[in-house]
Amino acid sequence: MLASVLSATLDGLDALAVSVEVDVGPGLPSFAIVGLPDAAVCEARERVRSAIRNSGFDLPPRRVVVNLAPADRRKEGPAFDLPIALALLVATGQIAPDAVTGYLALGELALDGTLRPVPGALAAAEAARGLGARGVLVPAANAREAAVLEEVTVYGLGALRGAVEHLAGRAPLAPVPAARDDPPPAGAPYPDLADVRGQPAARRALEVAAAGGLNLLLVGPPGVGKTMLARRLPGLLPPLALEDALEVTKIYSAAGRLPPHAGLRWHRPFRSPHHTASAAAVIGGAGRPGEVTLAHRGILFLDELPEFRRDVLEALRQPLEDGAVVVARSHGTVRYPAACTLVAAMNPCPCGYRGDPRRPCTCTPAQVQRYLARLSGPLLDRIDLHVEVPRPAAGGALGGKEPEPSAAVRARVLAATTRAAQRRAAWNDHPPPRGTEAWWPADRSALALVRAAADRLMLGARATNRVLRAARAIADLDGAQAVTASHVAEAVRYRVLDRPAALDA
Amino acid sequence: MNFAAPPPRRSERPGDDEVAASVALGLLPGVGPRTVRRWIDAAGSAAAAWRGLPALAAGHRDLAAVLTARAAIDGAAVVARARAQGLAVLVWTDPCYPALLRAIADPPPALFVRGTLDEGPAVAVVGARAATAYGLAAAERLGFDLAAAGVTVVSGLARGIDGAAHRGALAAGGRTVAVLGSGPDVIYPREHRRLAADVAARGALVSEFAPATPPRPEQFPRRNRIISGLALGVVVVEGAEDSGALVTVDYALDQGREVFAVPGSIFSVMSRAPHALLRQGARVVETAADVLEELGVTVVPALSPAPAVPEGPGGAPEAPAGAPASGEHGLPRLRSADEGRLLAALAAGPLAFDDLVEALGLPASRVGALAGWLEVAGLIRVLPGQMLMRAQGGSGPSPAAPRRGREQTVGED
Ligand SMILES: [Zn+2]
Repeated sequence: MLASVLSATLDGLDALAVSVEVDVGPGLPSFAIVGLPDAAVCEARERVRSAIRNSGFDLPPRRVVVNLAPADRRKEGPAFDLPIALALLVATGQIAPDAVTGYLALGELALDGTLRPVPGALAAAEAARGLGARGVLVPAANAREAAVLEEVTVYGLGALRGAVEHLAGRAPLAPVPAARDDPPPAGAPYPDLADVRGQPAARRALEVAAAGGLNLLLVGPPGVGKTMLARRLPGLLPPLALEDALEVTKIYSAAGRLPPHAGLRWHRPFRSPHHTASAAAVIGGAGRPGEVTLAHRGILFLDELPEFRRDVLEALRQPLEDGAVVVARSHGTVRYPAACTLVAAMNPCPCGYRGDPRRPCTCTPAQVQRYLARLSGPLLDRIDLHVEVPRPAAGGALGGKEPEPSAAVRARVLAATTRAAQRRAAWNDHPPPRGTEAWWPADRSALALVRAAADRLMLGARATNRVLRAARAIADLDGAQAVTASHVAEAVRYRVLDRPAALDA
Repeated sequence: MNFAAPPPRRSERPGDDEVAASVALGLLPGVGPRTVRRWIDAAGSAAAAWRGLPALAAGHRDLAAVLTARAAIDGAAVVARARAQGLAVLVWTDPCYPALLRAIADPPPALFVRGTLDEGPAVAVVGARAATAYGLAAAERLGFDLAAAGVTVVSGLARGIDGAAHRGALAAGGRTVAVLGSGPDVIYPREHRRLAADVAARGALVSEFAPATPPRPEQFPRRNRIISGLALGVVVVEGAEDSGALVTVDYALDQGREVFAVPGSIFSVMSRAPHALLRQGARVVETAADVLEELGVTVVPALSPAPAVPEGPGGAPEAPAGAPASGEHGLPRLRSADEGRLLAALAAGPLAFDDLVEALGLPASRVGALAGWLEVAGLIRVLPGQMLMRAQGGSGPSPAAPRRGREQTVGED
């Protein structure tokens, strides 16, 4: 007898509907799975057999063929265990055929029939919504994640037995309530800027980076708190919008990185891969999203930037520019979102003491130059703000003013980003000249100062562009419609590594 | 100490034979400048000493090696090659040989010179290669002020303090001399090639080593006797306990030169050498006046100081008719007395940006804008470690000074 149950497999971040067809017929007892399954799918045979028996159902010794359609797409992972088991129970007459109609099912079966969570439940729920499915059957640990979408009924299942009881109507389950929790209070899960004493230059750079969505490089000796500063940037950004939170949740769901029973992921990611990480781990590869995608709408923090592998740094340029990354896989490519803010940190020189007021740097200019040269120009060009975080002078005030908390900075950032959005919204009617979108409008004095700065500090065209981008963010923080010379003057300071003088002395 | 009288000044410059012989004597292996000077004194001239070498060197511990080398050395060829490169060759018996250097116990028999040496007062400024921002600022300030007072600033063209002292003197439009530990045409470190060219144009590059001699470590302590020998006094700016600057101090004391030291931070290991010297009685230097007063140098104010502020930007946009005139530097101005306050805060020396924010009590955004503007205007410089220092030669517009022209004013106050 023939039976089929709807399921889904991940295709990038989205899910592709898969029809799981089971034919149980005469012949020598066997169990075959066809339709481009991978090893994990093939192992479903053993898990499904044991789970069915251990759940108190029968598996007659017949010839079983499982087909996963469409047959031309590779199917991955153990998520087909549940639909295969259900289809098998229909084909052997243990569930009525129309009981499973219209349901999309996925989940990994343990040998005793309990259901284990799988990646991509949210994408599968989205596919189910697109198909107008009557409900989605997922492992209980995935239920809240699948239930963040509206217009989809989600059932969380503990075990195969419970699924059958529900489908047969003997013990119907209540749908999982929508898991779209209210957003947490602003800034809730992030460390606070109030923990950082002094360092006004770095604090200001964080604020400008937050307002403009700008990439930031912190240069300073070990132990001055560069990581501490970086971790405070997410708390300065405006809270995630619902659609962004949905997208981030979907990424983490697809990567199998949501904790069990997690609902909507409201907080901005903060990813800090180690400098030994491979290009596949950072950029993505073999059809899997990398750290740049896991940092989507959040922060990608690269500590010890010059120590990262050269191919990793080179490969970072494209996602930083496009906010998305194209990853190769066995058939074709897949595009992942990667709109993250890069925060990088590095020592000022190999010995770490360049510019330290208390200890001399023992590096030769050639050594410093080689160290800085590990950062390719094109990568530095994509970092908007370079800021030095020096060791505080000996005897520097430990008291002083109470440091400003993140909430105060976030309020200014929110006002700035709101203004920027309003300004861009008005462009529908009056678009700015091509190529000026990053800073338009600016007054004459601002452009005069940009040219003078480019001239005297020998900044290249790309660096000059970054100055204008930073000046735009500074103007927005200032509540100014047009960028002025004062905004440009502050922005000029954020190009330290572009200056020939950076290698002086 | 042996203060033998300098040879009688001859009215004429020495002939080619004498120059070639002096250079040749300097190239003899295992024969130091003291011995060469003794031989020249005994023979009456370098040429006579070269000719009579077998007799003069009779008592030398390795006579055979000296005589073998003598046969192989062609002083005239070295001189010809040097002159072909535009180098002057000054020998000990030349009236143009620096008088102070001639009087030390072991003057080089010949000096290779690119540029010009004069008889004006000279002060050496030396110190560590791995200097702090404070040390660099101090050396540059001293170099500037000494040169502006008409004193030639002598140093060794090394990284760190030496380079800063030369740069300061050049910024003042004054004279500066670099004594090299390599041939006069071998610039070390390489990144100082442009600085070396500037020094040669406004003073001299000096070396006792023949052209093309590479910079060998053992040559550097030896050249330090020329640095102190050319100067009336030696100022040590920064150095660790075992600093090479202390070698120069030892020579200076042997040569009867005055020794000065610039105090540093008690937190910095680079203050060890100057503080040790101060403890032993070196004179404290806070300003160039401390040096000039002690040496009894009459200040000749203002040579031809470099322009206080760089020229207007080449790429400055043309102001459309009716536009407000831009400020005095061809840059849009930030209208504010804070600019003057910032410059005043840096008058005492370089300051980290973070400390400046604290000192001025202004928001970081405002201090950032002021500092960025002043940097573009060439009034301050940014050093590693976000250290800001006033650019030498630019005293900067004082807040009280009337400003020329109508200004395009921007900024928030
Ligand atoms: Zn170093």
